[in-house]
Amino acid sequence: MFTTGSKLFIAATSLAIAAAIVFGVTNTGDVGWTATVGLVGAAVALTLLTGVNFFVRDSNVGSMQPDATTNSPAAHDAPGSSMWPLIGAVGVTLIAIGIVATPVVFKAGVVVVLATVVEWMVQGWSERASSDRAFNAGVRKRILNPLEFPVLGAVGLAVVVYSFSRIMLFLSKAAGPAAFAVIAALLLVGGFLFASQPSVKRSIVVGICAIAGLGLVSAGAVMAIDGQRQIHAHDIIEADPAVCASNAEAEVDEKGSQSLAAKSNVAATLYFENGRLSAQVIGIPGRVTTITLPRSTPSNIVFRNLDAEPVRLTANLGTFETDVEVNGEFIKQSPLTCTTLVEQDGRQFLTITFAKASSGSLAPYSLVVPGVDGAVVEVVVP
Amino acid sequence: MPRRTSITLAAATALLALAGCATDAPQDTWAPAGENAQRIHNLQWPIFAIAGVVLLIVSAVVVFCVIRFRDKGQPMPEQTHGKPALEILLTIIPALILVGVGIPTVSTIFELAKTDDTECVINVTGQQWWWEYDYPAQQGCGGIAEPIVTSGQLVLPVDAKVLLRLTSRDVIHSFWIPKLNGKRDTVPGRVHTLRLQADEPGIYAGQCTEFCGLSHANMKMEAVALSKADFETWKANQIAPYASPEAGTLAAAGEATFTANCSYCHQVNGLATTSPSGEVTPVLANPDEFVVSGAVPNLTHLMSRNTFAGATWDLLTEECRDRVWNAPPDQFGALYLQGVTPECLNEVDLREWLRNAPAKKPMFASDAQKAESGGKVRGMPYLALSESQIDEIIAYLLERK
Ligand code: HEC
Ligand SMILES: [Cu+2]
Repeated sequence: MFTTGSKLFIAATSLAIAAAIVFGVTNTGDVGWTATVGLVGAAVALTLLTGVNFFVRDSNVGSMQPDATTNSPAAHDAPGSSMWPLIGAVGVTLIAIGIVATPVVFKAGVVVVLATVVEWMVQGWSERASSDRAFNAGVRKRILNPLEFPVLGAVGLAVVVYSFSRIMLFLSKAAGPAAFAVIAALLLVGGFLFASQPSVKRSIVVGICAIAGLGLVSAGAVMAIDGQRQIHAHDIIEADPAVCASNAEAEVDEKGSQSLAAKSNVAATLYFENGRLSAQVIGIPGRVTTITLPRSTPSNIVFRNLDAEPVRLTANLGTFETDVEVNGEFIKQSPLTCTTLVEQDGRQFLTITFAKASSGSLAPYSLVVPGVDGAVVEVVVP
Repeated sequence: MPRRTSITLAAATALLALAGCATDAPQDTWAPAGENAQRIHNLQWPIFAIAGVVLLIVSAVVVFCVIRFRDKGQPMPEQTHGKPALEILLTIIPALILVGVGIPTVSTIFELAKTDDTECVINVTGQQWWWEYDYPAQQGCGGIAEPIVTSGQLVLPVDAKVLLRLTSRDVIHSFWIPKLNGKRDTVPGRVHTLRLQADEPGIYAGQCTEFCGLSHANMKMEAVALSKADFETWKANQIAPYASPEAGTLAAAGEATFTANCSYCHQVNGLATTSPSGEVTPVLANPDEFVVSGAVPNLTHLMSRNTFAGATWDLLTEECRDRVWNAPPDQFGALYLQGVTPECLNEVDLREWLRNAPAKKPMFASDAQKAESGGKVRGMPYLALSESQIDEIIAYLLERK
């Protein structure tokens, strides 16, 4: 009646119950409480397992039951070994760590657990398909490969790209191209060598590729940890708030400076040289002091300072009457927008949209360098 | 092949062939009328010829093989694999053809991208569903002191290297005058350039070639090339001072009706109101407050143009229109500069437009649609004008030359 397995489980269950009682009685406080709950949980789980084991009698086949030799679980081909319990456990651990540590780890854990659930389920299901292992493996592949290949491919690519990018950021500006020219050449030569030697052993090819892959990923990891090269930051001098900040729209170029695409589409380039401001516009030869920009659409303007003093470019976006009336006079508004201070040979970027024709403004639209007399470019908006 | 299928096929082929016989094809891509289009033409016909020869050879070989080696129950011939000499030859021939095609193509692309030989700059701005042109102040174009704004018809001096600076106010459009150059997309926030040059005075038709919403099909444009002297006349007219209609005329009533109903969207330069105390206030349009694109055609010189609403309808009656379009190059300028005379006005389409613009040209401008676009319309809304108001406005607009 008591099989080998049930003896083991009964002993373990008794131990767990005893431990729970002893621990629960002797320890108080939060730690004691948590541990007791854990031990009680273990005792309950073990009791359940004992019951199951007792019921199936160690899954032993009784000699008196002839059909048990074919139907009992023990008579079936044992399921293949599965790595998913292990991976699932890692996933759960990641979730636990992630909850206390960082959300990234938590998310990674969730992904791992979800992948485990899907993979394990399909694996378990496929193993019941027939008694033929190879056929079962085929069933599993047919269901999961269309999912696995793209995902693994994407992950592999991401790892390669990430590693390469870390290496590129680590190497100096000059060394980068050289290093990658060499790597590319090596890849090409290697490919040629393999192709020209069709008889080369598969294991050698796989080995070399594995070493190269490992090398790439570890180099990427090391360089990622070591940090990237110093990328020269463009110095932006703190703005002098008095000049532009009287109106809300100061410092528009903060975002503008980042928009690379816009920079390739300048409507006008403004130069400050020898205390004078002038503009250059595509298709109009030389420098001019009156420019025409379209209405109701953003115009990108680049400001270059060629003088020694740091200066800024300010755009006067006209003067308009508002709806607000004080003593029978409508309040007027003169919006401004401006760049930060630009050092000698520096440049700044400004995106302006004129919603109204300049004829509608009480004062002309203009681009000026504040504090410098005559440094004005008039903007006409038809 | 079943009889029905062959008949249908034959008919379709015949129709296709007939379609090539159109005589009135103002947007013919094989009829260049300026040096940029000519460059494209010089490139496209040899390439077309080369591609044609390749097609002929390949089809002939395929047809020959299909007939010669069809299954007659003969034994399977020997299968060859890997004939290096043949493979190399068959790689080199297409490569050589591609190089032969590639070199002139790349050089043409660079030629067409040049901007440093510009003689005249015009800003072109697309919006749903019409084009605005403004001529910035410059020494080019024979000298422009005061910017000029117009729409629909792009007037340019003949034989001059014109550079368009293209952008858009809402969605992506594409500018294309087939007889003068290729297409160029206009993208909000970007400025693209396009060279334009016309050899002879005349009208060159084109249309937006990037799907841009409801009335994409009604977003056309025309380039009008004028001789240097005629272009000077046109420029002077575009900045001529505003003349109010004579008091007591129908047009004078129209000025008031226009000021009340249209001027908050449409700018007419020089239009002003006079208060009882004699104070003169210029009337300024605020399209940015009512229209999604923030722009509406400037009507100061509406009747100097031949078409309206995205160059889709004629302002001229059919007879007058044909006279202008078919004029020989030396007489074209004088006819075009006449603009729309009262006898030549195509009142039918203009009246329909003013009665209910969105009914004539699909536009996103009803109250419900407006609500979806942040309270602004795309295009011109229905304005519920009475017939007598329309009479007045037409009389007023007729004087906007
Ligand atoms: C809500 C703004 C708005 C109002 C008000 C308005 N329009 Fe328009 N109008 C437009 C827009 C937008 C277009 C361009 C439509 C197009 O071509 O697709 C246009 C086009 C036109 C055109 C064609 C111009 C050209 O060069 O192609 C005429 C003429 C015109 N409107 C007359 C009038 C008149 C007359 C009134 C007053 C009764 C009026 N409009 C009121 C927005 C407006
Ligand atoms: Cu369009």
